[in-house]
Amino acid sequence: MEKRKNLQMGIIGVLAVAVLFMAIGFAAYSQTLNINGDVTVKASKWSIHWDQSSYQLSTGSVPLTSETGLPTLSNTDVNFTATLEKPGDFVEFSIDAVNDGTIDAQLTKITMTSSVTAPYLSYEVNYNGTTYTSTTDNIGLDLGAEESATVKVKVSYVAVADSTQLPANDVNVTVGANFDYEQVA
Amino acid sequence: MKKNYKALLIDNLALLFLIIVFYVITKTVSSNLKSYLAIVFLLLILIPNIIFFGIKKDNNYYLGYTVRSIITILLISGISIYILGIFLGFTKGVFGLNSFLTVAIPEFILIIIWEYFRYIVIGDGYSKFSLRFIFTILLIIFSVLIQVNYTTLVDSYSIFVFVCTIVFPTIALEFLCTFLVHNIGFRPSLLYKSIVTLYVYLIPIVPNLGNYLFGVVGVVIPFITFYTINKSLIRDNKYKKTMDTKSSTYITIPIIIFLLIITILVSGIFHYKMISVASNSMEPTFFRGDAVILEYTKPKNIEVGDILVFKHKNIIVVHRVVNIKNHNNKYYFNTKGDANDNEDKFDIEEKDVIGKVDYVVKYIGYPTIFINEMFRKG
Repeated sequence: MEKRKNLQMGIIGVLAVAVLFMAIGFAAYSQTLNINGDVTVKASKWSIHWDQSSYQLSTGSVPLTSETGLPTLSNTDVNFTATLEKPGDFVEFSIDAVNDGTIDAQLTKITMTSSVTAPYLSYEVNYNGTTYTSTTDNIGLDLGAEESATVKVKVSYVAVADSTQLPANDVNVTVGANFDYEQVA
Repeated sequence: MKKNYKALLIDNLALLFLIIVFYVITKTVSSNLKSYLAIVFLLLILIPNIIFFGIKKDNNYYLGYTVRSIITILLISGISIYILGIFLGFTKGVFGLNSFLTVAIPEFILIIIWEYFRYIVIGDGYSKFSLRFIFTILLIIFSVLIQVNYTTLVDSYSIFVFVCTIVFPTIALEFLCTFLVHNIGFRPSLLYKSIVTLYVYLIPIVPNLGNYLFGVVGVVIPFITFYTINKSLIRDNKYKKTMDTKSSTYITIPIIIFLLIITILVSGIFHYKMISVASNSMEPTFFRGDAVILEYTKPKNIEVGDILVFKHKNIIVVHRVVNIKNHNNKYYFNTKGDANDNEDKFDIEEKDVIGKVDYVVKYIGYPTIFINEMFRKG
């Protein structure tokens, strides 16, 4: 019977150790809630630029020649010079904006500037089929990775009904268009 | 024909061999299929035992008393645990006709064969303690292999939970069943195991005890059953009450009270919870290694100067409240550690508040902090 009692005491001891072990262990784990994981962050590329090879001068417009001035193209800038001699003349060209990176982008704003505002001058930008004639916010057009969008720029010498509105002298006009892209989350 | 030492040894070796084969076969098998395989494996040892030693009759003097004790203990335990569910909440069990037919019935068959196998091997009251012990250990390993799902053991926490909720209760259950089979017979052990294993298939909701309490209940209830029946066996052998008996009671009762307090405080099932302090930011009020007993409090009852326990970026922080703001009927708290020069640079929202500190217990938190840091390094 002494054996039975000793067994009983031994089991009480083991029980105490087991309950204490569980108490300490669960308390230790509940101190901090950790989320552990292995994540590989792939190298990403943010690259939106003009595709110079896609540049096209529309037919019927004022030619941009080596004499009149060929446009200069780079990945981020398109610069051109044109002379519009009479109402009806226009210069129009298209070039593709391409998303060459791994991150999706969204066109958020087109900022259009013109040093001259006059009834004989028309300046518009067409982005993938939609025409803009002034600065526009919150556009929200997506340009996914490896996608491209066609941008057409057209500057026209407009025929006005009132000839007095036509310029009496040569007018130098500087127009500009900035395209703002943001990364899509 | 009684079993001799050699026969018991052979049984143990055969069981060991089958366990190894079972482990190799079932590494990628579902637990349902494991139960069927275990039935087949046990029958492979049981049938030769029956052939050589015959079928035993189970007719012990204490059988009736033991069965009544088991039913009483499990009934009271069950009711107590379901009352705990009022504080902890309930969750859906595996109750359902489909799970009853596909899981419960094979499990019940396995339990019958398992316990009869145990009875055939060691149920004669004469076998050596060492062989009984080894036999029980083998059954524990076998039972754990049936229950384990290797895909869930991915980190130290999941292994720890597995040990506390499966391994420890299995150890307690198997040793209790060996005790019952060796001293009383096959039927009490079958009854106990059937009830504790199969009740979940008969009841639609079960208390949401959480891993910690589930593990504690899994070891404590078998112990209570063993203690009750063992005590009656001691008493019935006309063992005279001596100072030794009283002294063991003087040791047992304080241990049980201490364990009960620890369980209640660590689980936090009632109004209070104990947590360990892991930094010295609240010196000299308390130090790293101390434990604080917090009281669950509603945010509106917290005052400036109280020591707040809250969650911030998945970490539990214990700092003193220095400012309380009320915006749109919601409270926001600013806190600062007593030893820090600056206030904490964030507002604490109501949803992050756990409670406020009521008591400090010196040094008792060191084991928890040691294990916590060991797990984080690992």
